[in-house]
Amino acid sequence: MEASEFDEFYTASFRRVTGQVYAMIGDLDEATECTQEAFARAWAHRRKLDRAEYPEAWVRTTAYRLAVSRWRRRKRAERSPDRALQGTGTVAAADESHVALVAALRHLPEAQRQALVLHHIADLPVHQVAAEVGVPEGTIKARLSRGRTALAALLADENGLAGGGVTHA
Amino acid sequence: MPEQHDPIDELARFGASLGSPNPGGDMPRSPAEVRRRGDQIRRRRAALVAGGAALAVAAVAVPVLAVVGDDDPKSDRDRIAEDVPALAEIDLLRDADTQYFPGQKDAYRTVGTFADDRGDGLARCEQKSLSTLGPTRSFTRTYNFAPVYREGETPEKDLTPYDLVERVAEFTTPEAARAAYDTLGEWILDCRIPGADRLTVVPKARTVDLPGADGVIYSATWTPSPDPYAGYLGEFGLLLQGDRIAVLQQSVIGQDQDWEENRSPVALMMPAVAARLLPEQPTSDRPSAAIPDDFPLTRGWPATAGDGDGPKGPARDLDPVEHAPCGTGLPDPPHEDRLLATYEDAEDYRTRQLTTYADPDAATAAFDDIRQQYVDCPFGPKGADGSTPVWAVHDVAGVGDEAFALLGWDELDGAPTPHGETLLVVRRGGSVLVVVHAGEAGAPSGSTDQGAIDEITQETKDVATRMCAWSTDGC
Repeated sequence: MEASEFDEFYTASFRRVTGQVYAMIGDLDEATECTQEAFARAWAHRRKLDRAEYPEAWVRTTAYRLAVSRWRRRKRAERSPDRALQGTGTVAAADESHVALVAALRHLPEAQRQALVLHHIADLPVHQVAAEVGVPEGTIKARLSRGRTALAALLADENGLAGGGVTHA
Repeated sequence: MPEQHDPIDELARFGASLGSPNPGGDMPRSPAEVRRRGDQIRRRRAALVAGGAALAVAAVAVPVLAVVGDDDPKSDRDRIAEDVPALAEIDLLRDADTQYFPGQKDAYRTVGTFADDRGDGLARCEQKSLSTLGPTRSFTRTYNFAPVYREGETPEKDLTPYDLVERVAEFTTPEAARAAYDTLGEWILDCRIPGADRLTVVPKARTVDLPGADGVIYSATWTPSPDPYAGYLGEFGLLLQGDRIAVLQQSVIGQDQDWEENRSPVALMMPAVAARLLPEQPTSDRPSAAIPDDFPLTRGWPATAGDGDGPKGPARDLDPVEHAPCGTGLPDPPHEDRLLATYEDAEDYRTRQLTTYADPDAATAAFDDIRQQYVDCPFGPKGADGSTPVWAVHDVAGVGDEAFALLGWDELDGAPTPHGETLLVVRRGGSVLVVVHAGEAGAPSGSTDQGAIDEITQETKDVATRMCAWSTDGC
């Protein structure tokens, strides 16, 4: 991948991947930092990326794993996020119309949240979600069904969304 | 009751908004800045590998004593020898000590060895867990009878899970040990064996003459047994030696056994039990399994980290390294002592775990178990994120008695990801060192990354040199 190709890939995908990771982890700043770090690693390992059929899925998964890894380390060591991962710019607040949705997503089990985000937000077909997550299509369909029901109940009762946090495996 | 509505529309709207010009604010970094950051990551990794190579040159150029620092390499060993070692697995009977007939050694084979309350339930007549008697440490070993058959004889089917059990325990004082010894005697006299419809314990114990120790043997019979025409004949040997006790239980199906008083299996083995239980004297040529608290486990690591916790330890309460390439790890084999240290910087996570075992054979078995797990699982189970762990095992020469490196990385969508780790496992004598390099700095580049192996090996050599304390040849 040449620099110009990478720049085009980054420009076209960054916001979309950030939004998807934000929906999965519920923290826009964290999603932004982890996504830009994932893109930096994509450039550092661009020869590996050339072999990936879906480079955007590679970046999304890397960003998500970075977010989970950072959350776990912070939880364990009670320390601040890696300064190396922090951006130099500013991030605008999320669209307020989506705040309730993301807050509700945070209350779902991780597997259901991931399936809903990849299918309905990233717009991936079920078979591709199954391939990315590594489970059978039937499992994804079940997670989508249960997640949809649970999410509907959560959105109907926003008073129940106070407190809580990100659910990580 | 709040009205429920289909959330799919909201999810779809959210997804559609991500295609808008500014869904989450401006990009914090331009594409060029991200590429520069990526180039930094590549350079940093290259520098780490180069650093390992430089260390290798230095290690060759200076004498060993200079490499390990100003410390006298024998000082730790001397300090170890001054202490009486704690009770350990090595204080249990070995197969070669066991007897059934006089002079016929090696009569039983070890089935399993267990530390502390993991041995509960294996010994008969214990009315409560041995831990309720207050030992500081205890070990249990089970054995099966290993009969010798002549040519033409058909081996009999083994009807029992184990035929011999030894439990040893250490207490804070000789008085506490004696109290436990007395309680165990009472439990045997008041023995209750689940499922037994008839149980007889000979109330008068036979005294065993042992220098420097008290010893008694109780006999008992009980039914039913797996053989409908016979019951069990069992013996319970109790031994008190200073602040340590031992219980040896042997049973056999067949009430027609009639051993001469001092020629029963338990009576034959009690002297060996006492000899094994005796704490090693400072003049012993057996290296103590205890790891000194100040063992230089962090040697060679930076003293500080720019963006992390830096070095932590050595300590015994850090999380041990788990080996689970197939998704589920094997149980951690019983060991004598363990010391850990970690180092954290941004994307640079290192762990060193030093474990000592009862003897070099036990260490070799533990080393082989770790290696075999990875050989058996070159591809781990697919993770929730769709990635597959991949492992490659490489034997490494020139460090310890034997060593191997593990290159591990995740593959996603057929392509390697930057997530991975490099491990080095070194055995020397009765000790095993596991070194882990993880994060961006530790992830190997593919299955043949000799640079990653050289780096972790060179960084480990100083520590591996100090493992001579558990070598039979010493330092």
